Amino acid sequence: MRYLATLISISLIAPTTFAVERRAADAHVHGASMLNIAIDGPLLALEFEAPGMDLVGFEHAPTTDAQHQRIDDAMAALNAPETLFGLPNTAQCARTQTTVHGPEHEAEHTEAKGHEHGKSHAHKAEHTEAKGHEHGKSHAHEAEHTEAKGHEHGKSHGHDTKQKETEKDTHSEFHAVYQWSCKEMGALKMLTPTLFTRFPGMQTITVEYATPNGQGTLEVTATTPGVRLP
Amino acid sequence: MFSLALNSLRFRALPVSLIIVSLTLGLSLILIVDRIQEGTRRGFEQTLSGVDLIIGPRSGDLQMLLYTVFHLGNATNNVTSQSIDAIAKNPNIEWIVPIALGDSHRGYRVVATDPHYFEYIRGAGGAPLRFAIGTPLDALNDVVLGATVARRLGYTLGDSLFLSHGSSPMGAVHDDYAFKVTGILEPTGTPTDQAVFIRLEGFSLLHLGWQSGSRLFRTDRILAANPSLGDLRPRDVTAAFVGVKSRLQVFQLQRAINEYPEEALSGVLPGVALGQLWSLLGTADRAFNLLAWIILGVAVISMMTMTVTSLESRHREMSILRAVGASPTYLGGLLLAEAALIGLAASICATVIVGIASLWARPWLETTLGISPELSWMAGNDWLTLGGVIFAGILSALIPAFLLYRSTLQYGLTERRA
Repeated sequence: MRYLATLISISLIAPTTFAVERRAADAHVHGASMLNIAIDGPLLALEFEAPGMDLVGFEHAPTTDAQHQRIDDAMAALNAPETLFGLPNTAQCARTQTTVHGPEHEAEHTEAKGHEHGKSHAHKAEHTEAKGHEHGKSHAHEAEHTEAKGHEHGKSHGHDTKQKETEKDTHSEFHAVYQWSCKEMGALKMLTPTLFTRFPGMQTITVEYATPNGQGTLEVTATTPGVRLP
Repeated sequence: MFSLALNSLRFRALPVSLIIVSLTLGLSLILIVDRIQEGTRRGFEQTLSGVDLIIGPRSGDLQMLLYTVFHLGNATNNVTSQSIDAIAKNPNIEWIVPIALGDSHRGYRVVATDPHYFEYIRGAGGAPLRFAIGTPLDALNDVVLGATVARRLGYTLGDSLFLSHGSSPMGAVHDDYAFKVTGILEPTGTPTDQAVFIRLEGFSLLHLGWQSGSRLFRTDRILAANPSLGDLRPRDVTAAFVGVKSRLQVFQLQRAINEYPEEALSGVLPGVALGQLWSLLGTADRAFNLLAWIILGVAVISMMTMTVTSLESRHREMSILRAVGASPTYLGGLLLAEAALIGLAASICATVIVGIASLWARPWLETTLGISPELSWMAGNDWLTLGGVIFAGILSALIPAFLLYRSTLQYGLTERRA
């Protein structure tokens, strides 16, 4: 018994248990648009992620009206995914879920027009449920902002730089998740996205799929936009 | 016309057979390259069925897929069981089967795993793993053998065997702990056939007394303490296979694993990683195909050369044929018929060669890559290739046939000087 105890304790303690801190860095890939397609039973899920560069041609906070307009246009397009991703009509899919995040959260609420952009765009909360939420008044900043106490909204956001940095990072891209319920899943053999004509800045999209017939990956481009599914 | 063409070819047996040989080689090359490409692809793909996601240390997707599923190459790092247990709580995971690799038995990989492995992992085309004889893993010293291992090494139920440390057959033998064969799997056509399965706890027992590749304690000393299976749970494993409840969530689960804060992990969708392999190999594939077609093209051109040069020496033959009433069109047609016959002969030879090569390629693929795909005798687009070659042969005879046609028009006049 003594042996076992020593052995096991040695083997448990020996390496790495005293590690205090972990350091890891993600591979930083720029300009990569990706589309994930998952099919299970009658359900189809799409997840689309694109850097601002691909959809609107810039990756900073919009400053001019034209830039705001482009973001609004992109959001409008992302809110009509059937055309954008070219779902075949024969599959008879009915959308059950839509979540679209843009580089600037207001752009996604179409009712949020007329609202001053560039000033108050620091929401962290889920955008979809931010619907009937009054802008310019009580910004639902989550508890992350410890210094957010007497901080005036609708003016200049006095975030510490760290906070700004992460926001800039996550907010420079578009992210959309959709789900459909399809009557004729068998007809879903091919997607013919109109993305490339709609967004000329889009070069390639890396597609990954997981269907009952297998997983795989392919790259679609403006010249070969068709996504063939197994 | 064809019997005349045949006789004429027989008269020039040597050059004609050389041409047939070169055409045959070119054709066989194309067909074999095609067959092996398709076969490996299918073999690899059918191996993946059943596993939705692989969890391993942070590393390349492809590398992880190759060493976990295909037993090619080695792991760079392990994953702690603690992380695997934590991830296993994710509500979207239906099953999770950890594996530990690193040992072998006479050149065959040892896969230390959970007894549930045999329920969840599938063979080629999604067929469940079945036991030819015996039962799944139960006791600490149980070992289950893949079909090929049992057949090649001649093991049956109840035989005992030792495992060796590392993947080389020369590795140090864990000769202080014997395993007993309790089950043998039916052939699956996947790397499972070449694997030796033991329990994770058995694997951990073998290595408890080891430190950096050398033995400090013998296992009997550990066993003397009569440890429970729980005591012997391994501290880390090589990877874990995961099945998800709903495929819709597989990408989210992958992200959750990739962003797992406590340990640097990778979640790999095996089919996607394989897709990356194919696109990586695509260029080499195309180069091979191109090369094969160039070789065939050279063969066709040499056939054309032969036909053109033979026209000189067949002057007399053609004159006689003209004299007995053959029209210039008939003579041109004769050359085309000859070309068609040569193409046909080469096609038949190539098909036979490829058929034989397929028989030989299957065991070769099985031993080198662990996959054993059905290699068809005649694949779908082979007919197209063969037909194309015969057609190209006929086309190549068009120029000589035209030359012949034009010159024979004047034979009646010019032949006098001979």
